[in-house]
Amino acid sequence: MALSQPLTQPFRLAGLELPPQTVLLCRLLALTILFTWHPRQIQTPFLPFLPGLDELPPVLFQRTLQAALVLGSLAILFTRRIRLAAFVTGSALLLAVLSSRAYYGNNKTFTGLLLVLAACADLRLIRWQFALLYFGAGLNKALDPDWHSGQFFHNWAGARLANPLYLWALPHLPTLPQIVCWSTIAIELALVPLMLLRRFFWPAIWISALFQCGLLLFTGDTFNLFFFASQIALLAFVEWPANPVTVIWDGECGFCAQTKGWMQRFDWDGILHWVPQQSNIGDRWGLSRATLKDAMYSVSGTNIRHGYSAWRAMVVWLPILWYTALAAVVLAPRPAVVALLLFLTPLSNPVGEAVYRWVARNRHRFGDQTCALPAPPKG
Amino acid sequence: MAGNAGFILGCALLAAQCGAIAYARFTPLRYFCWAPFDQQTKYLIEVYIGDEGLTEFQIQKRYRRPAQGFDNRSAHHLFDLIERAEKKFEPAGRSRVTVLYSINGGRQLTWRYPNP
Repeated sequence: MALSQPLTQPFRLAGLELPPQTVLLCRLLALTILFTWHPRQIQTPFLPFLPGLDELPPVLFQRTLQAALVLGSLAILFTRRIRLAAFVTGSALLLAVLSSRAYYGNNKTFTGLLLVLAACADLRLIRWQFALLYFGAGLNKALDPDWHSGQFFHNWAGARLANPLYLWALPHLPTLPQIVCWSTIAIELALVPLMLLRRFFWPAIWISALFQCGLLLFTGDTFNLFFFASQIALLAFVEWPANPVTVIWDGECGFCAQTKGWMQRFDWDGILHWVPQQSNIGDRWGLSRATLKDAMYSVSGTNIRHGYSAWRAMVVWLPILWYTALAAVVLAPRPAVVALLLFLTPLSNPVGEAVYRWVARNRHRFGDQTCALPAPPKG
Repeated sequence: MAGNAGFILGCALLAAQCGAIAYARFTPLRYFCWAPFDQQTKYLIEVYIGDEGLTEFQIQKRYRRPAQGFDNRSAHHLFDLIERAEKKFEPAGRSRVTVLYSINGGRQLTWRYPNP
């Protein structure tokens, strides 16, 4: 595959042949493949699902797939031919799965399918794929007697993982294995309609994300590529802002200007539209100058946020956050997931708001430039 | 890939998985039907070629999985893999394989190749 037409700004999401969230999805999957160095897991053909693949020169076949994975992932990151690159990378993964019963795994199949479906340039396909995955998983469990009785979870958590939390809780709640098994079945099957109906996309995103994060925190395992792929695929349910997010900031504050400059450095697609409060733009939404003096505001569609919530709502649209989060989860899965959950959920609001208010009150002390905010009275 | 062709390819991939999910209701195998981590199988494999027993290392090399351990999918994936490997590597039928296994902590069972 030719690595032609390199991007002048390799981290941009907009202006490519796929929608921004599909580009981000492909980039994050490509980074997962590279960060986990997945190509080293690719094997020579072994008892393949597709007859004849084991007739090919085994080492050449293996090296070709490895090269396709690496080059395809790099092309997703750095070239404009992102559809072709996603198709090649996904196909290489699927071919590796079909070529070896020893390599076969749901996580690799799912990742490969996501990339191929992303190349098909229709987000519905990715949503249907995810719903189908949960349907298959829920159905199989719902028909398994060991899931009805809780025996699966009791053996897995107790005997296999020797999970201290489970072993501590079991004597207090003997029905815990059944509760966990039936809850899992209910969640997986409930996610199917939620993932198919647009008005339920946000509940679907949160339930799926928390379910997979819970599994990771309980086991400490990312299940090879599965945790990453299952979280990244949720991008298919996100509505990317059609217009830039308006950020109303204090144009007379040096520290605020520095913060703005810092954030713009990572806003490669210009998704944040910065407007100083002094321009009276707040009038559009009934926000007075006095109100705007206290905190930064962000406006996206009908959502108006201020302070820490506004800052968080801005940061989540910057891809750098997700690239960093991905690297953190690869390096230290449990701490990184805890930090992400704290950041993305209202759990961090009390501390976040307190820190934001303190910084906002003292912003005249930071930065190189003079801030118009008067110093607070002493005493 | 044109828009329509991409959509048709995507739908074909999804349809194939629907077929695999339906097919899984008629077989103990669970390939491509999204049944990960639905079963925990503890197993021990013993292999004899003629009168000679294979070491754990040789078993690992032969099946590309440890001679004993856990499998996170249907136990029948293990049997399927062994059966296919023996038919390919030992077509003369000199191999005898015994798998001692238990599913989800249940009682110990035995699977043999060739099947009695």
